[in-house]
Formats: sequence, C-alpha cells, structure tokens
Amino acid sequence: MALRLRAARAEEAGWLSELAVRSKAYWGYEETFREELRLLPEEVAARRVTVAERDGRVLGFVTVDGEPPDGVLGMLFVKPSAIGGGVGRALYGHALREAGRAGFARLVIEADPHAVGFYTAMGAVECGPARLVARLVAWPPAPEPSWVAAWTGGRPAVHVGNVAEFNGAPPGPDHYACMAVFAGPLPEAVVLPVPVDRAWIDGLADELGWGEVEVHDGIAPDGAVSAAIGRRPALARRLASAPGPVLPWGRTEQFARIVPTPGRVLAAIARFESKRGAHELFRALAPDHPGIVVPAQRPVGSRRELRRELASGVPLVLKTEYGVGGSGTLILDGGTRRAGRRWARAGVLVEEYVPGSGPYRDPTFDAVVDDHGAVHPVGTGLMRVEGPRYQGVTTGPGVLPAELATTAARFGTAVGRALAEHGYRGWYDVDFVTDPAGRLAPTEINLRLTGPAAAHTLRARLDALRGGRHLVRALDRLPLGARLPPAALRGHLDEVARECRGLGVTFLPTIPVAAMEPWPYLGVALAARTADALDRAEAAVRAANEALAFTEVGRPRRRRPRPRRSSG
Amino acid sequence: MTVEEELRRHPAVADCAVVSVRTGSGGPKLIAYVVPDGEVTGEELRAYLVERLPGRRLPRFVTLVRALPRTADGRVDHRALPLPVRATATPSGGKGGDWQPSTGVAMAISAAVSAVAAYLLTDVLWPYSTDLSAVPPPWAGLFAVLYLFECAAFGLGVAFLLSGRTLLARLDRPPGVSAAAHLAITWLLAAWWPQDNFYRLAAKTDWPLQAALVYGFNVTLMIAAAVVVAFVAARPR
Repeated sequence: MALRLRAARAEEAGWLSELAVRSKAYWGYEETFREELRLLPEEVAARRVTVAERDGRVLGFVTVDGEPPDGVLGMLFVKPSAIGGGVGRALYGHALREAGRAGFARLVIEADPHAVGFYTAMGAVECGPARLVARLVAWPPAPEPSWVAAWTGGRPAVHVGNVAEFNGAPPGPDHYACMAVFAGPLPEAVVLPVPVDRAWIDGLADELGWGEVEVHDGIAPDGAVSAAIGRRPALARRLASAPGPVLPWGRTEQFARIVPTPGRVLAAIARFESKRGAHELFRALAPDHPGIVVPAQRPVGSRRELRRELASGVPLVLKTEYGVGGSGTLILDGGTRRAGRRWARAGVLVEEYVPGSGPYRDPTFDAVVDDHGAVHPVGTGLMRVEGPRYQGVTTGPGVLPAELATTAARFGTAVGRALAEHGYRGWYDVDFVTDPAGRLAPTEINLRLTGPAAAHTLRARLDALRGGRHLVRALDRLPLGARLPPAALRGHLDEVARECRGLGVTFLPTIPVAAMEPWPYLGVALAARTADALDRAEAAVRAANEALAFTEVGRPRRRRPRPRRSSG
Repeated sequence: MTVEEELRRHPAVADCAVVSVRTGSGGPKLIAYVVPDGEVTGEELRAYLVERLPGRRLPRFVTLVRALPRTADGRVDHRALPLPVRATATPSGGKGGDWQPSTGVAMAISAAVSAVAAYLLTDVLWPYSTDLSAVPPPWAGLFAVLYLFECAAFGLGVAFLLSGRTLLARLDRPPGVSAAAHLAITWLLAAWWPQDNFYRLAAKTDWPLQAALVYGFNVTLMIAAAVVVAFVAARPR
C-alpha cells in the first residue's frame, strides 16, 4: 500500500505525542522529553500537523509552526519500526511544499544531532554548531508566481537577443544582447548576434537546471538579428514553429516578420516608449495615486527657448523622446549647463528635476501583460544609477521599504492596465525617482525587457529550484583590469565563482563577451539569500576584476613635465 | 641578465614569461607575466625591477597571472595571455544596452555628404573655374576627373576632421602631437579643392593674389606634411 499523507485530527494528539516520545527513545534518550513533545488537541490545526499512514496505521507526523514568512519545522517523528523506510523523507517534502504554498520563505529546524545527516541530505543547511540541538534552515519552494505562467506558460522558451535592433542602434557588435539569455526563467534555445563561449551557457545551465540549451550565436555581427534570422530559413522555421513561446528582447517590425506581432502592440510600444507619451499617461493616472508625483515636462520648440531655460538656473532634465538606459537623458545642474547647449534641437523635452538622494533613489517596477490584457506584477527593484546612466539593479524581498514598494507596484500596475487598453501585450517596466518627501516620480516606461527583467527571471528560476526567496543583483558593466582572451576569462570567472560560493552567493556571468574590448568589462548577476552576502560578493568580484590590472614599470623617457600653475 | 632571469631570482616568483606583445596601440610592448608564489604585488615587482635593471631594459608592464597558458608543445601561448586595458576612459552603461556609432560608418557618411556638397558648391563659389567648354577632348575628360578627385579629397578631409581623432588616439602618441597631426592630415586632404579653384581663376600676373595663395596653401601644406613626419617619429606613449 502506498504511503498516504493527510492532515491530522485533533483527537490524534495524544497518540502522536506518544509516537514522538517513542521515536525519540529510539536514539536512547530518557523519557524526560515527554513534556516537550506533548501535542495538545487544540494545537493540531494551528501547528499544521500532517500524518503519514499506510494501511490505516499512522507511521509518523510533521508540524510547521509559526506565521509566514518565517516558520519552524517543529516536530518530525517517525515510528521506530518505520525509520529508514522513506516516511521521514515523504513527510519532510510534503511539509516544505505546504509551507511554500502557505507563504513561508524559510523554515528553521531544531534537530536532534542524530538527525542532522537526514536533514542535510534533504537540502537543509546547518547554521550553527550542534550541541544539544542542531540548528538548520530549509527553504520551502515558492509557488510559481502568476507572471511566469503569463510570460512563458510555464514552458521552456526560445530567447532572441535583438537588443540593438529594438534600440535602433547603428551597425555594430551587440554585447548587451547576451542578457537575452535571461529573457525567461527557462530557455530551450537562445539566438544571439555575437559569438559566445559554449562553456558560458553550459555553466549557466548547470547552475540553473536548464538542461540542454540550443545555441544559435554569432549570427549578426552588425546586431540586426531578425534580418539575420530571415536569411537562415531553417532557423526562421524553427522560431515560427517553436512549441513554446518565442521571447525577443523587444517586439520590432523586423521581428514581426519572423514571429507575427499584432500591430497594436507595435503601436503601443512606439507611443509609450516615447518619454512624451509616457509622461502624458503618468499625468492622467497620477491623481488616483497618493505618493506619486509627476514632474512637469514640456517640449522645447527652438534653440533660443532652450537657451532661455538653461539661463534660468533651475535644475533641469533634458530628454530625447527615445533613449535607452539613460542614453537620451541629461541632468543639468550648475556644472554641466554648457553641455546642454549641444542638445538644442527640435524634439528635446525639458523636465523638472526631482531632487533627492538616499538609498532608495531609483526604484523600478516590472510586470507582464498577458494575452487577455490582465496585468501580472513581477516585482520591484532598486536600480543603481550614476548620473543618468543605469548600472545595475537589486531585486528581491526587502530591497525597497514596504511602503515605497507598494506605491510603485500600485502605480506600475495601473500603468500596465492602461498599456493593455492600448493593445500592449508582454513585458514592461516603469522607472521612478524618489523625492526627498519619499514620493515617487515616474520617469519612463520600457515596453520590452531590461536589465532588471533579467534579474527577475533569474530570481524566479532560483526560487523555484532552491526554494525560499532570493535576492538577485545584476551589474551590467563591471570594468575588468585587463583584456582577457577566452581561456583567461574562463579561469577568471571560475575563480570569482568559487570565491562567491564561499560567501554563500551564486555568481552568474551575464555579459562575458566584452572582455577583449579596449575597455573590457563584464556583466554579472549575483544571487543570495541576504543583502549583506550580496554586498560582500560584489566587493569581492570588483576586487578580483581590479586585481587583473597591469602595473606600469618602465615609461619611455620623456621630458619632465613642467610644473603647472594651480588654478585654485 | 635578462628580465626573466632577474624576476626568477625574486623569492615570490614561481614562474614568469617576458613577452613582446602587440596591444593594438603603438608598437609592441614588453610585458612581464608573473606567476606568484606567495604574497607579492605588481607594485613590489615593479620596484624590484626598477632597482636592478637599467631603464631601457625594463618591461613596459608587469602583471600577476594564476598560470602561464601553454601550447601543446609547452611554449607560452602568446595569444592566450591577458592584455593591458587600452585606455583609461570610463565605459558608459545602459539599461537596455548602448552603442557608439562605429567610426568607419560615420566617416563614410560624412565624407560622402561633404564631397557631394563640395561638388555642388564649386560653381557657386568659383563661377567658371571648372568650365571645360573651351577644352578639346580627351583633355576635358581628364580635367573633369581631377575635379571629382578634388571634391572627394575635400570630403574625406572633412570626415577625418570629424571622426579622425579616435583613429589617431589609437596610435598612442602624445596628445599635442596627435592634435597637430589631426589638423595636418585634414588640411592635406581638404586643401586641394579650394586651392585648385582659386588658382584656376587667378591671373598669372596678379602678384598679390598669387603670393597670398602660395603662402595660404603651398607653404601650409608643406608644414602639414612636416607635422605628419613629426607624428610618425614621436614615440608611442
């Protein structure tokens, strides 16, 4: 007869307490534990007691105590005669799954030292020296968030790195397209413009449980991925008839020739990727959202008008209508005012500068609009921005204060509903800046994938694979101290990964193709269970990258530079 | 004693290779790759070498590596060695990727545009300068080709003025020399179009104009050529 797992009944409490004492005695303990192991009838429901029975006989039970997200695997006992028969394993797995479903992110186990081997074999991690009791932690698997189903239908997907194509970039190598490998939690194939080292994909597949990933790389040295797919009939057919979803970085007209895209989706992208269009939408939605403030924005008609704006001395932000990752944005305070003159051309938008600083300056919110137009929030993140330039993001629980995260999610979801009404389907994000009063000013909408999107898909994959709630930090451009040929890069990445593992952090290279550039850099993602571990790993990766630097020894003989007059 | 021998005498050096490497800018550079044995920094090795070797024998860089890559026959695999970063400019970032227009494309476009502009403007600026109605064939055709060359050279000159800086920067010469060479090459290309047109319209005996043209064009072109020589002769940094 198969083992059956069911919720315990209140009247079984006395008998289960008895079973616990006998089980404990199996290890040679005296009966002094009797009081501790007593289960009261009125506690049975609250402690989520599950029993395992075979042929109507109860062989063991387990309890999950506490309130989500942090719980305790309070008791797990198996009848001495059934120990070693898989009952404990079944109860443990069941308890973890149920805990995950109930919203627990973490379960503490205070285990008898004899049982530590069992728990570590089951995937729990010891987090304290075992004396009288050992302390372990287990991470219940998170239930799959609804956005995963909305984005991929829960199936493996084909990821297409058409970043440069979406951005309308001029011909050139598109290193950033590597990020498309993380377009969803589970790729079955990736199509990349630049050639990549298979060892990179294989390493990711090992770490993320991807299985075999089909790689079509180096197909478009100029970045024009869809055109390159069009020239390869077999690949085009492969994409058009893929059993799972095909996820491009962004929907474009060129890509629509490979995999059809509704015209309304493309129209919505053109309208709301525009900073002017996004701003109009923000203004329309903001009145219903306390905590949201929309900075004033207006187009500049002429060079003279802009000059007048600049002369006023008020801090301003200049934006081109379309621009990626801050490339079309200029923040003007005292020092950079002259630079603004170069921007004097038609179509420039002048926006009120939202002052502010502090740790929560640049929140972002990601979500998916499903095929029926429903919005599925993916999560919030905290971006790292230098000047107007995006450098990276951290996502996961506790990254933003709850209030800020809620405001961002509410407004971001409302934006998504409006996008859906205009016919948009797919991934989008809304970026904000936080003002000194803690209000959020929305700055732009991206109707495509972004760096934070990759961090979110990685987070979902790791949560599903290892349980619990991960924090993921994506850093897109960590400078390398030296230009590294492939073998040297592999060695470096292995070393850094080992160091991170020692800190309890998973190291995942995201952009490993720019290591031979004149200014070499590396894109990475770090995943951990605490923000502190992420910070330490980031410092370690940066230090390792810098340690590659060359020390200059001999300089060709040159005249000594004349002492300069200081201007101070 | 060679650099390698000297390095091997250092107690914290397990292995090393001193290799002449083309880093992409300027001539080949001597680089010492050191596999450390224990704690040692690049700075310490630099001080160690500077103390023991004359300036002209010093390598340009020293760097620490975990191991020396070797080919199947056991020799150091030069192509698998790390290279120094080419310049110290800070790379920019971008949330959805970023790009820099490639110099080649930018140059081709600006050259074509300026060449066509020059061709169209010739008759406006120098009326009848390129009028070949009085010249018999086949000479008229040959001169027409010259006019095309003048415009093309002018276009290339403008393009080089706009985007040539990065090309010159790659050659790693001192900034002043690079800037002078940038202007000189621009002038060597762009000067022909105005110069030839002026000369064609100038009367042979208009001495003030002839002198102005000679000093404005011929002499400056000679100076420009000399600047290019200075650039080539300057040592890469």
